[in-house]
Amino acid sequence: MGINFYDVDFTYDVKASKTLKNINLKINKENEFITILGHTGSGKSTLVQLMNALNLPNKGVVEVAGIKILPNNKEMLKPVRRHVGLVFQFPEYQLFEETVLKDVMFGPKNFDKNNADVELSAKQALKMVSLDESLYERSPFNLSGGQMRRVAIAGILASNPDILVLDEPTVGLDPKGKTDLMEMLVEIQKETNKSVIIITHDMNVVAKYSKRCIVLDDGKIVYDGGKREMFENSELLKNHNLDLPDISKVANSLKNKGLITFEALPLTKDELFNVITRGDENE
Amino acid sequence: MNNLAFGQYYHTNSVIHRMDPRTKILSSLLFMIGLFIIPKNNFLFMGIFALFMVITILLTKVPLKKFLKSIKFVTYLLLFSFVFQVLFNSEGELLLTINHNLTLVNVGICLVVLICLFLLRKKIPLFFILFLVVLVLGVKFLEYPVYGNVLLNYDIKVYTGGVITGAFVISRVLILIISSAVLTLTTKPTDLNNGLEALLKPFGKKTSILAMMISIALRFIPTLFLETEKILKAQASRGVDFNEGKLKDKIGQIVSLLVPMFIISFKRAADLADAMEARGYVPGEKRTKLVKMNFTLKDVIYLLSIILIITIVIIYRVI
Ligand SMILES: Nc1ncnc2c1ncn2[C@@H]1O[C@H](COP(=O)(O)OP(=O)(O)OP(=O)(O)O)[C@@H](O)[C@H]1O
Ligand SMILES: [Mg+2]
Repeated sequence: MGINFYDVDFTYDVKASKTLKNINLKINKENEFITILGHTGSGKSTLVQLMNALNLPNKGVVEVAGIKILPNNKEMLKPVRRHVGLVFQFPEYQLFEETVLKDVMFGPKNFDKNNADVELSAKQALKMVSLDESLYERSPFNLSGGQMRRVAIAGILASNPDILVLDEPTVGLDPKGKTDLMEMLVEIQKETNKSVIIITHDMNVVAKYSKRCIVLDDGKIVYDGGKREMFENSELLKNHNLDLPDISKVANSLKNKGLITFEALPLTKDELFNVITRGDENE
Repeated sequence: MNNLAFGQYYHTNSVIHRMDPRTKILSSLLFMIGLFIIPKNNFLFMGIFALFMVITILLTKVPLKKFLKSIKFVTYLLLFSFVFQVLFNSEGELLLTINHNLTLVNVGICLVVLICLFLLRKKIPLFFILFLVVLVLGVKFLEYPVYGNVLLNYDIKVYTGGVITGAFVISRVLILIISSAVLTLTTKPTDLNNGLEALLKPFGKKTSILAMMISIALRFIPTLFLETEKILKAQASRGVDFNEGKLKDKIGQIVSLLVPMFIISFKRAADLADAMEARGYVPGEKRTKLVKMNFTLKDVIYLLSIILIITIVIIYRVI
């Protein structure tokens, strides 16, 4: 099941050029950890909004959990949105209730009116994003930016989507907040096997967490595959405004100075560490 | 969402576009006042006004479609006011009498046709014209007592006065809307605002603040639409569907739209105020202008011709 794109075109304004062109994509329901990359305006946010039918395709078919989303199809969208939970970049676009807890309960209440356990699932979701319990009864507007982001994510998690999509979740968070958030997503992914899709500009995040990378340029998918092949393809990186993670840059300059040698480019701290300590043993 | 007729500047660089915004504002204002002092049912003067408007439209070189668009959303209002006049105005001579014999069958047929039309309205090109034709046919059709007992029988009397006044009212509103469309289609919002500010200057210092407020409001309307769309999407992700639900749910859904709207607007306003202050804006102080407005021969001619027409109307009324 999961999400399938078949020859999808999308445009916001019929008179302007297409925002997305001929997208073909297959995303599994389980065990994916995808990062979507591409420079500003390449269509990343537009693409993820097609995944839960906030944007409808102009051509082609998007299939979510077996439900076909066709051009001009306005029915059956709610199950799609329940299946794919999308967290927007700016939490202030969705927070509105008096208390944090009530705001998180809003989603599950909409999706399942007869569910008596909305409060329970809301509390579970808030626990998952490790928000302090003392904040549950506070107004969501008196929180810090990072806390708001957590509440917004909990608001989506509470409706228990099968696939979780986040639009630039780490922007504007402090370094610790960033790591916490990413660790939390990895945790959720491992525990529940849900697929997680993240839009990001941060190559360190990609290097550390991503299993699969999708690169967009000017509305077209130009790369879809593992992160290692992507980072080792310097042509691709240069052509699409991408960059190496910091660790790999360090590794490259060490290599250029003749201090270390490696076959596979180290992407994370641990990999670089391994390369360096192995080098010691060789001497 | 972008079919609101204001802020819809259309660039052609015509004579009218190059005119001083002050001239355009003043002349629109005078023109509108003039429209309302035309003696009732005087089609000669209405014709002169219409002719003047037609010449102006031709001079702007803006496609006619743009003007028709601005009329589009008052068509039903116009139709209603015309029908109203025709039905209830009993001045002049009797023009025709329509004798309606309502039976269950013919009323039913009319209703069904109307409902079908209403449901298909999005799919039919030139819907309004079809609607008019159907309306006329329907009124005629109700004369014949098709099958069954006549439930109600009444006369509609149409007098010449009603038709004439109806036509007069319609043409007045039409010309009014088109003249304001000329102003907004040929003047950039910023120019419009500068012109307004200059015209209001004699009335005191506060007016420049007012003009700034208007220009900010105009500038932020499209932004607010975009923000609304984003909020709608964010809440749709959480299962809000504005097309379904009971009244109680609906209220909750609207609140989920309004609260973020207010929060974001206030935040934007505060940010903008800071940004303006950081760049040295002091309310009411004298500011230099990037573009100087200048009053040229074409402005004089345009303004004088309007004043001439209005003077004639006034003289006619007084005598
Ligand atoms: N609501 C909208 N209406 C019209 N055009 C839009 C809208 N949203 C985005 N666009 C246009 O579509 C294109 C792709 O935008 P999108 O937001 O998907 O980019 P992005 O890859 O997410 O960029 P960023 O990294 O800055 O978030 C841009 O050219 C943008 O101007
Ligand atoms: Mg984006």
